[in-house]
Order: sequence, then structure tokens, then C-alpha cells
Amino acid sequence: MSISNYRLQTKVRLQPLVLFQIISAYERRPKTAKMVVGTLLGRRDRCNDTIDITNCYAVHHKEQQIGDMEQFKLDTGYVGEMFDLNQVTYPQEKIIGWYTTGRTLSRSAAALHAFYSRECGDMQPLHLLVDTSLRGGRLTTRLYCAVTMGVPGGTRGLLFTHLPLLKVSTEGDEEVALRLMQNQALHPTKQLGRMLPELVHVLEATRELEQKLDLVMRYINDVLSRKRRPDNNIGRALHEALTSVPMLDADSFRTMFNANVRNMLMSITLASMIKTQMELSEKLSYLPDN
Amino acid sequence: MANRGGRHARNEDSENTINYVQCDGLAVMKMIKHCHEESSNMDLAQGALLGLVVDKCLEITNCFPFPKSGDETMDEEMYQLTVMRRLRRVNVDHLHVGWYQSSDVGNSLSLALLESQYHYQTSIEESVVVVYDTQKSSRGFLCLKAYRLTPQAIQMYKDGDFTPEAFRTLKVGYESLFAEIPIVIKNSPLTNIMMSELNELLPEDKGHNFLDLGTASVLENHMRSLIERVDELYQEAVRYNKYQQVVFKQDTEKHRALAKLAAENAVRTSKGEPTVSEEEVIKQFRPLPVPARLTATITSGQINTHAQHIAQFCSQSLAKLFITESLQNAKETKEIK
Repeated sequence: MSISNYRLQTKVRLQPLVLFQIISAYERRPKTAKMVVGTLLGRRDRCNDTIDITNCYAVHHKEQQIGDMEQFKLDTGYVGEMFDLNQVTYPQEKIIGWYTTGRTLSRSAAALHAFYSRECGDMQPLHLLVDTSLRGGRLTTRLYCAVTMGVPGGTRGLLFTHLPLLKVSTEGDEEVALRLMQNQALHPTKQLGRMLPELVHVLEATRELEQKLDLVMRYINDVLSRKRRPDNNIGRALHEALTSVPMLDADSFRTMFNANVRNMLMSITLASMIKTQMELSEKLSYLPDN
Repeated sequence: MANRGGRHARNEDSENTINYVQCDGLAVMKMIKHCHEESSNMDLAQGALLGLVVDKCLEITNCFPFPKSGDETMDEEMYQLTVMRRLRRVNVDHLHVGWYQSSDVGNSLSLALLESQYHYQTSIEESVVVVYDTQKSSRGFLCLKAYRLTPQAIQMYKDGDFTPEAFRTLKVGYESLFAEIPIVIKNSPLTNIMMSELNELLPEDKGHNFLDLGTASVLENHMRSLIERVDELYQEAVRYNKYQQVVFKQDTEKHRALAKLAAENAVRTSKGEPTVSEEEVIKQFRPLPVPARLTATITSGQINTHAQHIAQFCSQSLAKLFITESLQNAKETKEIK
């Protein structure tokens, strides 16, 4: 149980799915519980020294106040069973820690740490704390790691140190879903997030692009008319963006453009022709045999 | 009598129809994760959907993946039951409302899908199958579709009769096998808050790969699948033509035999002997089995979806091409100046 398991260079990446699950578990908690506890699953990459938290599941627990003592019961059998079930579909995910919701570390953190360090094997368990009470107007997510401290041979305790949680990692396609849900979150009055055909997405993107261009133009105009102080970094970034567009001479661009447009139009014509033919054959098959 | 019964059945069915499917963000993310892990293994990802039915809306609140079929250590039913029981402990909806499947370039409409959905829909009235297209989503468009079998398709499957007459009487075509139901993604307010937090953590420059101009490979893939389907449909057509030819030949032979018999009978009556009945001759020509039209219909349905995908894809790439044209024009005018 050494602290050398987590050096400062260790990168911990969190996948958005974990946060979704935690919030869903918190919303579905039994009425008597004030917080939710669960197991974190993930992968550990020793060569790159990264830890990926990819999945999690909630665990049933009970808190009781008996006299002065607070008792905390966790359904340990459940932890094992859910882990086995998950292994069937995702064999590379191992238990790497546990999560709770709440404002600060609970008193039972030490006991949970002891239990999970047994489950994790040779690794130190990570602890993810999600603040669902929205203190400070934000949903803070913090990652902790336990370090033993105290006088050797005397009283020992656990200190939970805060680890930097690196940016959330996504695989390319989750981003698409996330963006769709984000748009729907930002404009709740619009119609609910329906799956729209692709053309509408491109149109919306062009509109967004137009807005961004407007913003940049306004900034440039302001700088030119000396209303704003010019910033070298922004200027350099703009220059980079403008020069990154590949410069094709007019002829080659024309040929490429025309060829592509012709391909697209032909495909569309063929596709509609196929559809008409299918419909016709269906109608014909309805005619009686004779 | 039959008409009134039919109308009554339709009224009953319309009470059980689902107008739209509402999906939780959590279920969507889990589906995407599972389908992507499996797509690297070239396997079909399948799983169950959990949720509940509210009025005309089917809410999907959670989902879990099915284990790969190669693993024999765990019985599939036991696995499902155990997972559902465990999830129930943490207050997750445990009503099994459907299943999901990943698909590759829209090859989803298959006989297996039809059969599974039929079994689901007969046991659970409101179940849907959600198809997630991994290829399309990697190009930047989230593609999640929900399908249900139409009542006519269920009727036909129940009879187990796939002859052309059955198709005609029930008016089932490739378009009326599956009904597509719109999906809506809805998140709770707390999740929305979490998403705004996530927004800050996500890198800003990703998520725009649907503006990519590279269209050739995608179009080629679509075309290839389309050509394969058309070939299959052609085979079916050839088979049907052969059957018709055989039937025709059989018919002519039957007529010839009957004519011969009639002549024979005339001779016999002139001689005063009893006539040979026609039935014995007809019995020699047994009716041939009609080839099933089911695969042909499914193939036509697939061709239809392919054609639709291609049309949509081309329209949006045309839009992107015109955007680049305007950019090029702007550059050219700058050069001229």
C-alpha cells in the first residue's frame, strides 16, 4: 500500500458515461438514502501510466445511526456479482475504485477504502466524489486517492489527497451524441431532441460557422478602428487558421468540384430510380396471376 | 362480417401503438459504448432495453448488453434474469421493453431481425428494436432508429404462410413490414447540468467531423452493399420465373392429358364401355410448391433503405461542396486583387 502507485504524472481519464450513470443512480436512490455509493470500473495502462475510468454501477447500501455510532453497511455480495456479470461482456474492465455523491468525504470513507483495496488487488482504489447538491452552482467532480499518514508504529490514519482529473476522454462517436444532447440542453424550449436528417445538421453547422465568423469579423474591425487592443496570440491564431486552407489553383479546383458534384447528382438520380422501380414491382406483384 | 372483424382488430391495435420513443441519455451512451466495442471485433452487438410505457410513448431508461454468443459458460436467459434482478435492487426500471442491435451500413433488415422482433412483439406488446448504425455515427451523424413490426406483418408471420397470395391478401409490401418510430432523446435537468459541466471539459475542436469532405469511400461502401442486394433480388426473380415456367409447362401437359382422355372417353362410349374419370388424370399432376416471397421482400426493403441513405448522404455532401466552392471563390477574388 505505497503511495508510489500514483505519481503526479499519472493521468486519470474519465468517460462521460460514468457521470451519466452516477447521476441516474442518484436520481433513483431510495427515499431514505441521502447519497449513492458505487463501484468504478476501468482499465489501467501501465506503459503509458494512464488510468481510464470507463464504467460504473451503483451498489445498495444502508446507513444507520445507532446511539453515537454511525453504521455503514454495504452489500458486498452485490459488488462481486455485478462485477462478474460485467466481466462477461467487458472482460478488460477491472475494479479501480468507488464513487459517492455528496458535498465532502463521508465518515465511512475509511471503511470503504479498506473494502475496495481488497477488491482492487495490488492497486490503490480511486475515489470519485460528485457533488450533487450543486454547491457553488456547479456540479464539482473530484478525484481522491488515499494515503496513509501518521506516526509509524503509532496512530495511523488515512489522508485523502486530491488528484487532478484530466479532461474527459471520449471516443469519436460519443461526441456526436453528446453534442446532440448539449444542443437540446441549451435550448429546452425547442422541440425535443429528435433525430433529424443529415442535411439539417449541415445547415445548422453552417449557421454556427456564420455566427463565429461574424464574431471574428467584429473583433478584427474593432482592432482596426482602434477600439480594442490587439492581442498577438489571437492574431497569430487567426493567421494560422486562414493559411491552413489549402490553396488550389482555379482549374484543378473546378475539375474536382465538377466531378464530385456530378457523382453526387448521379447517385441521387440512381437512388430515386431504384426506389421508383421497387415501388412499381411491388404494385405489379399485387396484380392477380392471370 | 369479415370487414367488421377487421376494423375491430385495427381499433384494438391502435390502442397499443407507440407514437414515439423517448430515450434517456444514459441508455444512448451505453448503447453507443457497447456497439463501438463490438464493431472493432466485427461482431453484431445486441442488448436489451429497459424502461416503461407512458401513454403513447415508450420510455427507455436503461439498457444492458448481451454476452457474445460464443461464450457457452453462461446461459443467456439466466444472464438476463440475473442482470435484471440486480438492477432492480438499485431501483432501475426492470420492465423489458425491447432490444437493440448494431448495424453496418444499414444491413440491418434481415430475417433474423424479423424473427426476433416477432417473438418480442408477441410476448411484449409494445417492444421495439433500436438499430444503431456505427458507420454513420463515425462519420458524425448520430443514427438511431426504432422499428416495430406492423400488425399485418405479425399476422403473416403467425400464419407462417409466405406465398404471394398471402402477401396480396394482407397487403404487405416491403414498406409495410417495419414501421419506423421517431426517437427523442430526453435528459433530466440534473443531467443537463452535468452536460454543461462536461462541455467545459470536452475539447472544443472535436465533434465536427461531419463537415468532412471525404465522400468517395463511404459512397463506395454503400454502392457495394446496394449491388449485392440487387444481385440477391435478381436471384429471387430468376427463381420465381423458373417456377412460373414450370407451372406453365405443367398446365399444358395437364390440358393435353385431359384432351387425350376426352378423346379416349368418346371412343369408349362409342364402344359402350365405361368412361375413365378425369380425376385420376388430374391426380397425376401434383401442384408445385410456390416459392416463398419473404426473402425477396426483405431484400427489397434493404435496397430501399440503401437508396434512401445514399440520397441523404449525397444531398448533404453536395451542400458541403458548395460551401467549399464559396470559400474557393473568396480566395480567388483575393488573389485577383
